[in-house]
Amino acid sequence: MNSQNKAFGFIQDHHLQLLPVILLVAVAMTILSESFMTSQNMINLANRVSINLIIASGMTLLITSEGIDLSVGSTVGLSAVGAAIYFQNGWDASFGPYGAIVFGVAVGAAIGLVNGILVALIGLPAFIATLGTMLAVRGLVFITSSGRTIMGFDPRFIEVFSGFTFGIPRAVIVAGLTALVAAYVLNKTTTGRLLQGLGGNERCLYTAGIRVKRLKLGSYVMMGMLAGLAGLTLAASMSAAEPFAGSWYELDAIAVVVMGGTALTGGRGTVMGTVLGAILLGLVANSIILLGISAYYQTFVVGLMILVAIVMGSPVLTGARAN
Amino acid sequence: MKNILTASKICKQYAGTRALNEVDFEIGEGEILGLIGENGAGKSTLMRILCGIEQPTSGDIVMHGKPVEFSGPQAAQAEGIAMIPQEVLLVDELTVVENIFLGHEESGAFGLSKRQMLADTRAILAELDSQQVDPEHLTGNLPKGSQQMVAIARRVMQGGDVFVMDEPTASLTGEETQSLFKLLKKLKGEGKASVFISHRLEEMLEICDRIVVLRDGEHVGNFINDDTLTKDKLVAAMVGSAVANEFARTVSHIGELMLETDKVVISTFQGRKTHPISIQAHAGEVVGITGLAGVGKTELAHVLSGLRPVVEGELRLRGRPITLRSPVDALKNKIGLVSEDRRAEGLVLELTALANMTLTSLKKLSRLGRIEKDRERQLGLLMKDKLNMRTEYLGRDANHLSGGNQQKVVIIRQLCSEAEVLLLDEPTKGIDIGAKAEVYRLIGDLVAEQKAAILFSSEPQEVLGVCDKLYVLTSHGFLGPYAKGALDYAGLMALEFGTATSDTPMEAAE
Ligand SMILES: Nc1ncnc2c1ncn2[C@@H]1O[C@H](COP(=O)(O)OP(=O)(O)OP(=O)(O)O)[C@@H](O)[C@H]1O
Ligand SMILES: [Mg+2]
Repeated sequence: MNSQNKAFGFIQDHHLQLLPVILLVAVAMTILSESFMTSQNMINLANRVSINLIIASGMTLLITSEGIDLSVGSTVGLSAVGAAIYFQNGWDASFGPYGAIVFGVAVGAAIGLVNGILVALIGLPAFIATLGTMLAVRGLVFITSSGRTIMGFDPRFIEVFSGFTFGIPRAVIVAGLTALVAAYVLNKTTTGRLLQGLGGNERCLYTAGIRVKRLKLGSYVMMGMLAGLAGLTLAASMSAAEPFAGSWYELDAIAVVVMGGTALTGGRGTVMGTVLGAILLGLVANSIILLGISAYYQTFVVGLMILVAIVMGSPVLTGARAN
Repeated sequence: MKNILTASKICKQYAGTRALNEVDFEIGEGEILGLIGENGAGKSTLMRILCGIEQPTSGDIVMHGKPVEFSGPQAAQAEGIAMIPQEVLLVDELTVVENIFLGHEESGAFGLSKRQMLADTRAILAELDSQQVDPEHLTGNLPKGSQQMVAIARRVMQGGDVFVMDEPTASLTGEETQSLFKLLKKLKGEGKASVFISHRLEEMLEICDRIVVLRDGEHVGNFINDDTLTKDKLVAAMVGSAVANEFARTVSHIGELMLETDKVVISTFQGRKTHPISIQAHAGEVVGITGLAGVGKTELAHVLSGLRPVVEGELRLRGRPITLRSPVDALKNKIGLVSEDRRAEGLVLELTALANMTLTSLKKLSRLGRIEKDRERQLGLLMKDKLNMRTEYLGRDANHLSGGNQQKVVIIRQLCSEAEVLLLDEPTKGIDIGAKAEVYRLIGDLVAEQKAAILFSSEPQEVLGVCDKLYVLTSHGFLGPYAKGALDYAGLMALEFGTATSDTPMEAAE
């Protein structure tokens, strides 16, 4: 690094750079669209951001450890459908309405366990293994739901995720807590330190006698559980479980993690950056709809945002070159 | 003598540190120049600047009489500077010949002329006395020394006027070093210059025409190597004071038998089986294992730390048979390894020095999974003092530490873990003379707490000076133990090269 580094030094904390952009978009939208600052829109926005953030918080830890999980979107779908089936089959009669929460999260954990076994124990590349489970699990969603939207959730279940506490939407509270815990784990705990180490140099951790397989397995199970939780939040916010629920969520999550400044090559991650990334992505998507721009542009814009984020964070620009 | 290269008033500022301060430096035609200094003195930084890998904050470089500015390594290479970096950069998955010609493939009428490349590779390896290296072997499976030779061969093959080598001998055995020196002399005869860095001052005195000393980023000495130059003079210039007996350490009473191998046969990286190896390491004892390159020292260290399987024979810890399926088992049995390859195995470059030091002690530094950062820092401060590191290094990413300081971090990790049997594979590779003495002293203090240390080293002076007991791995047999003092330098060499049979092994200790 040299003088270049000074000029671009701020980019090292470049997740904070997202803050002014977020404010800018928010102010512009307040001026441009009357429906932006309405409570209904804010709740929609909050729900969208929250569901993404629940997944992205976990994805931050996973990517920091040089893992990745493409199956989270499908897991969201299966967890939502699973909860719907729970009520449809009347299991709440024996286990109560909140049993659906346990069930949805357990479904996620099971998928995470499968991913973990494939990646950590069998040693498949994460990208390929979770691509496989992504398709297989989506298939399971179609099979279990027979391709139909299922409704009939218990209102008490819905209330858990879409009610308000002190005027704050529950989804926001769930996502906020998830992000807080993820940040705490990453920055303060042994596990977080080891996840960073795993992403930096797995061979070093292995040589040092650290239980690398267990650590990896655990991180995929954690990811599955969070995807399950996101699926429940989604089902509750829509009062329904659709067979396509959660499609593309994996990409949204990976996008905001990268935008936030977590390195895809592992070793370094920031949950704070992910939070800001999720807010920005939600805002932009919301703006496109409110401004009456074709939804087709949304995908295009998100793609551009990721590219910009990657270029800004790239070692070439920051001058952080390996010796 | 004409100067090939003159650098003047070179400064290099990193965020927070001034690595070089107005350094003047020149290289003459046909000169062999040595560069020495303590860890972090700025040697590698200076070399990286001369090779265009980094740009100076200020200062000028004149080459062949005209000012040059190297925007990148290609630019420097085009001017005839060939760099062999501190950390060997080869593609493990490629063969030796592929590595040597990577990016410079020779093409015949029908694409790459493989036969020509093979012949050239054989020729250059022969020049480095490394005929035993099979050009079609995967580079990753070679011993570290051979890899270094391949890296050197690769550069020499590409040609140049100035060969810049950052600690080329750190991973070479004495024999390989001599071959390298032979090559340097040949280059000298062709009017080509070489600059190299080493912490082994004897080597410097042997081969260099002139020796330049850096301290804290400043040029503090320039010695013509004539008969009056001594190691002490160099040390005094480097450190500012003399280093007393390098190998001094506490000698403690020998306690219970800790780690033992009973006729253990292992396979080397080349897939050759070794002779049965039987060693005994007691508490309070520093056991040395030495031998030429490729005899299986690192492989033995890997077997004892669970990284490689035992082919035949039995491992015992305190008399009880143990199986080490992975390093997890080794850690459980309180066996810790300081790995030879700090970048591939020893460090997480993205983590800070402190985080690297405490990687295996996190359990005792945390409560309910939460790392108590104050205590972590306390431990770091305590340890860095013992090895004479600066406080500011603790918070720095391992990637931004000098090579020697990286090595210290790896050693410190094992010193603060709870290991009772310490396996040290070339632990002093790349660290300066003062810190080396500290490492030996720390190993001594450690075994004084009734722990056992096994030192795997190809440096004869080191094993002869430090170890209580020595085993010699050779291709014709496994020899030893020899008690301290039973062997001298010549005796050890004779054993390693097979010109003497095991003359005075000491009574099998029990
Ligand atoms: N990329 C970097 N960023 C910040 N500081 C750096 C960087 N690279 C090197 N330094 C610092 O510059 C100083 C000089 O380092 P250098 O690698 O040149 O030392 P050296 O003399 O080669 O030491 P060694 O004998 O340990 O290899 C050290 O304090 C080191 O920590
Ligand atoms: Mg160096």
